[in-house]
Formats: sequence, structure tokens, C-alpha cells
Amino acid sequence: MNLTPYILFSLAALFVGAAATLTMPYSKRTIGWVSLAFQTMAGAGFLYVALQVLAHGTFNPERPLFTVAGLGAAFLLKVDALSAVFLLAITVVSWAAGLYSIEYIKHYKESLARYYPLFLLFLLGMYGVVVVRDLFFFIVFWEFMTLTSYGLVVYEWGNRTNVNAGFKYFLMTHIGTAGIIVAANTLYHYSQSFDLESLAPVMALLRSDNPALLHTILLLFFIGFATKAGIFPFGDWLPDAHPAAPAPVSAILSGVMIKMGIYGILRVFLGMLPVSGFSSTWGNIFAVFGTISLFIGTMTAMFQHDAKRVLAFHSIGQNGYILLAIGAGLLLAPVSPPLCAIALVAGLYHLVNHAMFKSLLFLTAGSLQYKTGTRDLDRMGGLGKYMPLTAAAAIVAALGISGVPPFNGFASKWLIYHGTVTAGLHTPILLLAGLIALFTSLLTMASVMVKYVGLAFLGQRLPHNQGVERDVPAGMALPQFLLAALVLLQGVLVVPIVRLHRVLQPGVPAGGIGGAGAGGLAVLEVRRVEAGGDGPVVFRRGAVAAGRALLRQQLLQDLQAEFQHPDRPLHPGGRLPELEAAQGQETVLGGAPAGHRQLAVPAAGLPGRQGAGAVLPHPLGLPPVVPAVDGDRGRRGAVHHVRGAVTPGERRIVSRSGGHGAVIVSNIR
Amino acid sequence: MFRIVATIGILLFLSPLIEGILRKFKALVHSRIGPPLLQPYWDILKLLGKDDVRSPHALLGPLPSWLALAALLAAGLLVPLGTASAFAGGDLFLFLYLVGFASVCTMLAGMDSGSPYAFLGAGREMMTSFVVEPVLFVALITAALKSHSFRFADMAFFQQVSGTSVSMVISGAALLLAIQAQLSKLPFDIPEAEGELMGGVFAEMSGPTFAMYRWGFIVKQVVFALVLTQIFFPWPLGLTGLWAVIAQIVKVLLVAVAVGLVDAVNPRLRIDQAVVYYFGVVLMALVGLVFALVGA
Repeated sequence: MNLTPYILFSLAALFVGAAATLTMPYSKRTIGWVSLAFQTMAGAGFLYVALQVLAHGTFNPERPLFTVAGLGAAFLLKVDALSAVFLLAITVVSWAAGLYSIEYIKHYKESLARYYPLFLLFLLGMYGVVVVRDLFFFIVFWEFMTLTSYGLVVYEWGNRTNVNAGFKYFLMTHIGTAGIIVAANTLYHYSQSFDLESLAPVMALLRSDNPALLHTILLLFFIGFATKAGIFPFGDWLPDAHPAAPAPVSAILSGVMIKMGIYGILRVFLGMLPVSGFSSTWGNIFAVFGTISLFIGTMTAMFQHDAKRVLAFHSIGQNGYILLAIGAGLLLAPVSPPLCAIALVAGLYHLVNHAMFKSLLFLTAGSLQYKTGTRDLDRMGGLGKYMPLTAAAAIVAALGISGVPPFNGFASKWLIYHGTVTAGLHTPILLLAGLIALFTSLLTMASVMVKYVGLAFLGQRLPHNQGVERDVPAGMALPQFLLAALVLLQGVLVVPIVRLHRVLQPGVPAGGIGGAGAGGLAVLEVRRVEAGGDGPVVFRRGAVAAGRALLRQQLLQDLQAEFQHPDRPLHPGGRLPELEAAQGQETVLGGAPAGHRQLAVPAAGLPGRQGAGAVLPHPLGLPPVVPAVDGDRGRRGAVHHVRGAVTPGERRIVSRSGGHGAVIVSNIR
Repeated sequence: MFRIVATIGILLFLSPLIEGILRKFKALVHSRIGPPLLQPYWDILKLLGKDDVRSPHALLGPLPSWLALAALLAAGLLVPLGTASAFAGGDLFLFLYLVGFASVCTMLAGMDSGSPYAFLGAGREMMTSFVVEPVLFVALITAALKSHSFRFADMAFFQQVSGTSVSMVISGAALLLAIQAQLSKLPFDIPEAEGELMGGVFAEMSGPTFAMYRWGFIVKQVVFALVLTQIFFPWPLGLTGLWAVIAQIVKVLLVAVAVGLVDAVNPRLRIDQAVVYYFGVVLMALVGLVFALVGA
């Protein structure tokens, strides 16, 4: 199935839409509908791509659409299940926000030429980030996303606070991005390619060759992505930028854009880094940063008075939950695949859930601002009686973020607690993290339910809000309803959604933790209930059935087994075998293109390995992975092109892409 | 199914009797005659029969009161009564969320009424829960780590099989100290504080809505006493069937009397005093957890 046309069509639709909305001389409302039409086209395309990938597996074309010869970059597309989940989240949240914009944006006096075109290009950037396989174009789209969102944050150009918030956002995320660029270039030096799949073996090489450099690269990636994700203390821009942006943009910023940082972390630390002591180290670091972030973010939210600032600090907190879960997954990967899988599923599920309830909360905050003209919670109160639809949506979202069963936050937080507390027997730091997360959940419940919902919607209406007599127009109420329905559905249909755990299996190089996660997830395949064949168990009978349904799942039985035998090694020796980077000798031949040297694997290369350049053992004992890309790559006598001067004795990776192994030139004559 | 109906029945219809005994006991300590034993039943019946006078600002109406009672009953189903819980796999996280949800419903209802007293009461309720809930979950997680299970049934079984341990005793004691505030009894009835806040979150409530809260509160008392006695003080061991249920009811009564005694002889603390006190109790629960981690 060639999905390239769909992806290109969707990206083009957003681009054309941006040009159209920029030049159109029609009314505010008409331009809004035009923008939504283009957005719907793009969304439909990506929805199709995502569903195809979820149904039929990774879309990973061999050929780049074009290459940038001077830079070594190739426009390679790749949509695996992880990308598909992000595509779904971006599409749903941005569509709701786009529909909401049409009515909402009318009360601004600023020109729409600075809204819809940037809005569509912002989406283009986010979609682009998750569908490319090349780190160079990843960064290009990443910058696209950052710059356009900066333009949206400072939409109210005349307001000094907003401009300052925008500048802070611009500066901080660019410092982070600079680190990502440095890291990418350093990796390029070794692989001569920006292809994410050929960067994985580089990490395997660096692990043994230059651990300090590898740690530095990982640190740069982490800081860059954590800044975007709003992780404390890197995410200081977030509480200023979110309130400054118009509400639908805040919804997208908080609902999906900051998740791009998590996407980057998953790609680098799950997709590229081999399962090793490095993953445990970084898992620990993530768990600690995640825990600090979730506690401080939520705690700070309690003391805010600006409705959107409350929510922005909760974004820092909730992203902390996600990072904690991912960190726990990395940390546990060498120890226990089932627990690793639970933690990773928990993180990813919480990410999707947060996308829904947080964007919904920002839309309700926008509705409050639209009606009352203020974001100050102390100047609201009693509005629920006059804005019942918005109040109901806000309460549903608040129940979601508080993790009350049967709303969606319960399912993912429940998985996080189970993962961390169970792991507490061998890793006490995760137990502590789990306890702090549990306590913070209480703070979240109090802060969002009592502070946000309570202050804004309950109690008595204040005199200066006497004019608020009716709810927001249908164009704003409908997206709120849509997201509220999803918050409930994601809580009720937990099992089918958790089946999406496949997202952590395919397309991840075997060297990465995805392999381990895959093993664990295969163990955890959530079964249908045998009794009476009543299909996937859903939370049918409300709150009580919720716990029961999950408890009847295989997931839990495995968890229980893990819990009861904490000392039993899951792998011989208690940990996964580490990936070995195979080494071979290669010969430099003449006649290479300018700027390139040709290397050839000698006939006698790679002792002990028949035929292929290197056959690396799969960490979980799955079938071995043979590097193969050009057909001849990896075979004896194969010719590789390597850019730049090659000195004898240098170690280099010559494999380009597609494979999971590394052929390392240890000796060049 | 029978277990579910029976558990809900016991929780709903037996708990007012326990409340009645508690009130009578308190009156004895105060040298009063006190209300008749069945007075809580009459109170609930009377409230149910009254008109529901509501604040003109109320948005949620009686909804939170029903949800709170339902959540507490659901939480009650997870706790073993007799030798097994109505839901075999009662999970402690679900329990914590249900109990937490019930108290959030109470806070919301208070704020919904628009009364300033209720607002203050809701704020105090929140402060109290921040320091008291951690005791509950740290103690329960200690039991989970000891018994290697998150299910109440397994936790309750653990001490019967493996005997007691230092960590369980410490956690049980911490939980006993926390129950006083969980149930808003003196010296920790700060959120309601009839003297100063006129009932706090309940200031504006009347009729069936109030009846639901009262009933939920009485149920909560029994559920918490059950958690404490079932998981941390499971003695006497070896009882089965109806005898086990009866023994539990007696134990719940003992906890209720202990709570009532403290309630009867203490004046109310200020919120800051209570918070400092409960920091100590949280620390105590954490010590229990550390003991559990090192295997004691």
C-alpha cells in the first residue's frame, strides 16, 4: 500500500489552505470555514494513513522523495504505529480547535491574515514531524512548527505581556533546538546519513567506543525535547505562552504540540538507543525529572488565578506523568519486559488521554474568556447556570484529568501506578515516584475540580458578569462536546485502545527498547473474555465494573505474576543480552565519486558470519536481523560509499539504512 | 450477585445502627441520655420525606449527593466482608479514587450552593484531605507490598497466612490515627465546624440531598473501619461464613466506639494544628513503608 500520495496530498492541502486564507478578501466567518475545509481535507488524508498503518503495519518506503545532495539529507517518509497515534491525536484535537476558531476568533480585532495561514502551517509542521524518517527534515518540520506557533502565540501583537511570552518561548525552544541540531550533526559525522534507522547502529557503536560522547548527545536530545515538552525546569516558557495564545491555539499547543517533545524522546531513546546500561541510566533520569515535573507543575497550578495559567501548569504536571511512565519503561526494559510494557503503554495512553482532556479544558477556558472577557478565576463564578454546555464539558474534562473512573485519566494513571509501584520492589525509586504521582493526583483533583470548575462555574454569579446570560454559540459548543465524548469513550473502551500497544512494536530497530517492549507486549496481549464470548471487555457498568473489567484481563494476571516473583530473572542472568556491534575489515577501492571514498567488504571479512556483513542477535531471541538495504549491502565484497576522507584504522559505520545492524570498519587499508 | 446485594444491604441498612450506638456512647461519656439507638434511621427517613430546598445558584442540584453515596458503596464492595469481597479483585487504586471522588463531590456540592460558609468548608475539606489521604494510600501500599497484591482480598489474607510484621503494625496504627479525620470527627471536624461554619459544605443543604450525604457519611464510617480491621487487624483468625461477618461487625463497632471516645473528649483543633499533626502521621506511615521495603 503506497501511502505517499495521501501524505503529500494532505501536506499540500494545508499549504494551499494557508495561501488561500492569506489572500482571501471574504468575511471572518467565511475564511474560517475555508480554513476548516482545507484542514478537514488534510485531516481526512492523515486519518486514512493512520488507520491504514494501524491495520496493515508500518509504511516505510525505500526511496526518498528527493535528496539534498550537499547536506546528505533525504526526504524519507515513514509512518509506523507510533506516528499513527500522533496523527490521530493531532487530527482530532486540531479539527476541534479549528471548528472552535471560527466563532471564537471573531472577538479579536487583529487581522485574520496572521491567524489561519499560520494555524494551517503550524499543523503542517506537526504532521511533518511525525511522518518523516530523516532527522534533517524532522528538524526542518520541527522549526516550522516552532516558528508558526510563535506567530500564533503573539497573535495579540499589541499586548506587551504576550510579546514577552512569545519571545521567551522563541528563545527557550531555540536553545533546545540548537542542542538537537548539534546532536544530529554529531551523529551524522558517524553515519554520513540523517536517516533515523541508520543512526541507531551509530549509537550502538558509540556505546562501546565513546560513552561520554553518547551521553552528551543523549543529553542534548533530552534537553531539546524536554524543553518542548514543558518538563520542569526546562518548560518555563509554557505557563506564559499558553495563556498568551488564542484559546484554540492553546488547546493545540497543550494538547498536541508539547507532546512532540515526547515523540522525539520516544524516537531517540526507544528507537535509536540500544537496550543497555544507557537505557537504565536515562530511564532513571526521566523518572526523576518526570516526578519532579508532575509534582511541581501541579503544585504551582494550585496557586494560580489565571484560568489558562492553571491549565498550563497542569500541562507541565501531566507531561511529567508521561515522562515518568516512559522513564519507568526504559528503566525496566533490561529487567522485566512485562513491566516495561505496562509502563510504556501507560505513558502513551496518558499522552493520548491528556491530548483530549487538556485541549477540552483550554477550549472551555476560551469560552469563559469569550463570554466574560477575562481569564481571572477570581472574577468569575456561578457561570455554570448560564453556560451549562460549557460547564458540563469542563466537568467531564476535569473528571478526566483527575482520573476519576470511568473517565480516561483513570485508566492511564491506573497503569502508571501499577507499573511504578510493582516495580518498587526491585527499584525503590519508582515506588517513591508512584507515591508522589498518587499524591499529585489528589492535588490535580482538588485543583482542577475545585479551583477551575468550582470558581468559574459554581457558586454565585458576580455583578460584572450579569451580562452573561447564554452559552457560547453552537460552533464553539460542538467541538467541546466532541472532545468531552472522547474523554468518556477513551475511559470506557480501554481494552480496544490498549490493544494499540502494537504502536511500540513495529518499526523500531531491534537495538532499541521497542524490541524489549515488543516482547513484553506480546506477553501482555490483552485477551477477550472467554466466558460467553462477550467480546472485548469494556467498562460497561460504570465505576465498579471498571476495576473489575481490567482485573479480568490477562494484563493483570501477568502483572500479578510479576509482582509475586520479583526475584525471578526473566532472562538468563537477569538482564537482556546487550547488542554487539559487529566489526569487519574493509578495503578502500579507487574510483569513487568526488568527495567519496569507496569501501569494500573483503571476501574474508567478518569472521564467523556466513554471507552477511553482520548478523546481530536479537535481544529477545527473535529471528536475527540482517542488515540489507541496497541489495548488495552486507554481502561479501559489497561496495559502500563513504563521504569524506577515511584514514586507516578509523572506525566507521558504512551501512546506510533499512537494516538494524552495524558493520563497523575497524581497519581500512 | 448475592454478595453484592448483601454487602450493599449491610452497608446501607446496618451502618445507621452503628452510628446510633456511637451517638449513644458519646452521650454516655458526656453524661447525657442521648438519642434512641434507632435515631439515625429516623433522621434519614425524615430528611428523605422533606422538600428539597435548594440554593437559587445551584447548578448541580442533588447529583453530587447521589454520586457520592454511589461511589462510597462501590468502594465498600471492594473491601472484603466475611471472607471475600463482593468483587474478588478489589483494587486499592480504584478504592482510593472512589473515596476521593466522593469527597470531591461533597466539596463541589458545597461550592455549588454559593454560600460563603460552604466555600470555606470546601477549602478546609481539601486541606484536610491533602494530609489525610496520603496516610491511607501509604498504609494500603505497604499492605500491597507485603502481600504482593493490590487486591484487598489478598491483602486481608496476608496476615492470616504469614503472621504479622512490623510494617503492618505501624501502618495499621497510622491508619487508625487517620480515620478520625477521614470521618470528620472531633478534634478534626474542621470542615464542618458547626460552631463557626454552620456545617460547612452542608450549610445550605436540606431534605433528600442532605439525607444522601448523611447516609453516605455513615456508610463511609463503616467502610473505613472495615478496611482498617480487615487488612491490618484481621484477628480472630479462622472464622468462616456468618461468624466472620458478625465478628467483623463487632470489630467495626469497636473502631466506631474508639473514634467516638476520642470525638467525645476532645475540642476542635485549628486547621494548621491538624495539618502539623497529620504530617507526623504521614511520616509514621512512610516509616511503615520503609520497613516493608526492607522486608520487616
